[in-house]
Amino acid sequence: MSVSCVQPKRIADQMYVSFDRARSCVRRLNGTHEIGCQSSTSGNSGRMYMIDNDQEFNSFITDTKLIDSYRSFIIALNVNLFTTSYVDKLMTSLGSKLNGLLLYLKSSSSRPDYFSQDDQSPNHRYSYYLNQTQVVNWNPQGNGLFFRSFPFPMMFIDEQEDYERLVKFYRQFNISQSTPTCGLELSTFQNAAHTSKTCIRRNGISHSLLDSSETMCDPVGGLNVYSKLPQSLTIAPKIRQPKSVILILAATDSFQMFLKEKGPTGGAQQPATALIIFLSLAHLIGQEQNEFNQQDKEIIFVTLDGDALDYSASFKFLFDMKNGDFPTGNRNEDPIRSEHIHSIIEFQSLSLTDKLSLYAYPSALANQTFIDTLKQNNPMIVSAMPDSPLPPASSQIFLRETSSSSFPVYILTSNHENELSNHYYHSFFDDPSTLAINISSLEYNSTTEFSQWVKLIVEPFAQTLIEYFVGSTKNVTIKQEIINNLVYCVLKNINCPLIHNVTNQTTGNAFDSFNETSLPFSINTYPTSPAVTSRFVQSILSYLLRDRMLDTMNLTEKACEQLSKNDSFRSYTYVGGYTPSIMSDAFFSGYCVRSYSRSVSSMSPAFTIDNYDLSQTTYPVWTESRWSTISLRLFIIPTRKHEIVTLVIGILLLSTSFVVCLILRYYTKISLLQPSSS
Amino acid sequence: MECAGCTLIAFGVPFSMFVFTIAHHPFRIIIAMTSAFFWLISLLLSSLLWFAVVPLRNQLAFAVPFTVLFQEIFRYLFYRLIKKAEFALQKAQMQELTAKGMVFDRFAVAYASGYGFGLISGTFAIVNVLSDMTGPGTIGIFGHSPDFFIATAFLALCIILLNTFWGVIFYTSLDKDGIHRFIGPAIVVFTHMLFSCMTLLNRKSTPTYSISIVIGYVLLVGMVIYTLILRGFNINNIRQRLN
Repeated sequence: MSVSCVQPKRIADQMYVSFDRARSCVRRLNGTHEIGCQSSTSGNSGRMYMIDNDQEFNSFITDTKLIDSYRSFIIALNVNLFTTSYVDKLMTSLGSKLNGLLLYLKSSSSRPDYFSQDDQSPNHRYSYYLNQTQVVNWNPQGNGLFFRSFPFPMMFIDEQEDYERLVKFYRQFNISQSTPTCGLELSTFQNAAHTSKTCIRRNGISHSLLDSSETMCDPVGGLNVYSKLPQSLTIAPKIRQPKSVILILAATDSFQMFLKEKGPTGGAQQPATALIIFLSLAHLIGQEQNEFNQQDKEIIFVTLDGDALDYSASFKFLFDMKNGDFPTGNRNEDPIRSEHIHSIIEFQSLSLTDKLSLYAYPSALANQTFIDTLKQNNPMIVSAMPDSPLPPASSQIFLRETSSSSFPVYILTSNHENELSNHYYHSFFDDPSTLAINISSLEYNSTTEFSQWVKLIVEPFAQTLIEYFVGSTKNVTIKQEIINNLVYCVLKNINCPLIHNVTNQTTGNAFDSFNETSLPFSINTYPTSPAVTSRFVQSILSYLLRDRMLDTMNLTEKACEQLSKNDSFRSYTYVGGYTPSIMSDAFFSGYCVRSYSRSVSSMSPAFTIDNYDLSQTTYPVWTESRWSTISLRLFIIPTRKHEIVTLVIGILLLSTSFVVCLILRYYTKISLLQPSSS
Repeated sequence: MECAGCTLIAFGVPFSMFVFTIAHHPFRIIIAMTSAFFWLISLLLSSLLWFAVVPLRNQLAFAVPFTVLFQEIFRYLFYRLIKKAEFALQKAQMQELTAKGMVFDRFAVAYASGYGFGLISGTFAIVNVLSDMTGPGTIGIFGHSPDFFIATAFLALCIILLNTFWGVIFYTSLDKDGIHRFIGPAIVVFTHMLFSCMTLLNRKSTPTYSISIVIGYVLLVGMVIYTLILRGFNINNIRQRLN
């Protein structure tokens, strides 16, 4: 027996360096195209070449000798060079030799000023938007690379340690062409291909001897959540009055071109900022519920999950509304249709800016008094020109599906001269640092510039709503603590005391596995994604809008259950109670929470309508591919000379020994070599 | 390409040997397979020993000598088995078989058993390495010597050939009388131990493979010469034979 290895373990461990924390670009499909990237089944490998700046880029492109001497390349590209022009130039000069792209970020302080792979005009690529003739580039720095299809895999190294390891090995071995050089292998095989229709059809086909099929792709969809004050219900035989419902909208999803299993998803400015304002406003409405309950108007808070890709969630919402399924649940509650909607208020693309823009459309239906009161109460708000084009917002679909003739929409957004203030729109760089928050030192109760800014927006807004709908002027205040807690939970750790205080033990325990994770904002699919974001929002929203009368009653869990037996419209849970939101003087060990909330699937109607042909363009049909492993490995590529020498020696040995044996058999009488039958 | 090259280096010569000396002889094929099986059992026993001695699992220097001993013990056990088979065949109608050309050629049997032993030993030595070679990379990212794969292939080839000749020496010596019954096996055990322990030198990060490879092939030449001597060759005989 012979020993020729260093340690009695697998050789492969000594040959490959893996990077487990890399982000990758995956494949998504819609009715007509596929977007994103993928590799071959066994991964794409090639010679690694690092390009750090424009100069190195140009010298590489013109170095035809180097390009010709290798079969395939994996280019490690500085993230600052990730623009359409560089990528296109690289693809044309390397052609099919470009086998993969690895982007890297040197350090968190060297991130580019603008980084967005969404279109310049987001959600405007296909026909699913409100047609307003004038096209505005809300995201002028967007390069649209997210919506292109690449024949090679793309991955992103965003951890500084990983970058340093990569550079160390690269510099060590990238000396000349006669010594072994570094190679990379990107393995991101995606199951889905072609279009959603083809992929969904393939989902049902079984390719093996067993009658089981492998799912290739999943439809995009999560949960739309809506909640309102539990006292404001229109139950038969009472009939709902026209123009009696106000919808307040916020999004709970986003996308990023490069994602990873366990890692921040971005989305701090869009949609987290809007969501935090949305939830704080819900608290204020809940706090002032006595004022609102006396009116015949309902304020419904709605979150939409899936609007980042062609407004799928909004289409579903309006589809449900047309079919009398809004609100879902007990049939005795009078359905809400477009004629019952008074107006829509949406919080969209907000950033830490000192001026906010208010869009009202159509100007014929918008109520100028409401706009003026808003501006008067909050001087930060500036109203846009009447009938100016709307920014990318879910309200567009509410208008589109009702021909902009039923109700006005009011959109509050942060932009400056038709340009969104978010430099990292729909990318994972959109993190709390863009909101002047130092995330590592943020505590559950920390007051930050951002949370104070939220207070300055939410209080006047609630005040305006009261003035406009109730008719009385009242100073409303929200405790800074509540906003601080919301900011912490959403941006840093969803397993926070707040969520445990507002849910019962079973629901609260489900968040333990997300400890030290911020609220994820990404594309959710049905049924694979757990949609923890929607569950989180629903729990908090329903608690903040609860019937506060029950806060004053010391009820046991049994008594709470008893109440729920007689009520089929509202839900009852027994929770620990979130003290900052409780207004009474007495504090109990547990509270019975009477609330009204519903969660509905937000998959595009295309997937739920029977016999809907997925190539039709009535509704968006986005799907996301499934994949099994995603890996990134670094290794040494042997030199051509070494490979050929090994092969030649092998062939020589085989042929020489064959010839020698042949000679010995036919020209000598050695009995061993003579054929016989024993 | 490297994988194909190393496979050819390690198995090229044994393949030719197989085609010309074993393929046409069913009896030799059976002997080679059974011999390989005995080697596998010896490997099982040595791995049980390695597994049992928990504190020394990381010390290859402990496991290697015992593995060598176990292999030689099983080589001897296979010899006993062959002897029994020969005895039984002789009792059965040997003349009939001889007429058909089925002769119990002791030399061929020793050769086939050595070959079987060697082939399985070489395969186990290299097949894991070959499978890791099928990936896109080669060894070296952590500073290991790039000659690792070629060296492994040559060592595997050396092992296969050495085992073949050890088999011949071992059995031919045991068949003879007198002092040869002890010298032959002793030389086999000694050279086997020497070769294996020499390869322990390859455990460093960048070892000089040339030491173990050169010594291995020198040993091989030595074994070839000793085999010829045992078979009764001297210079005159060789000249006669070749003519």
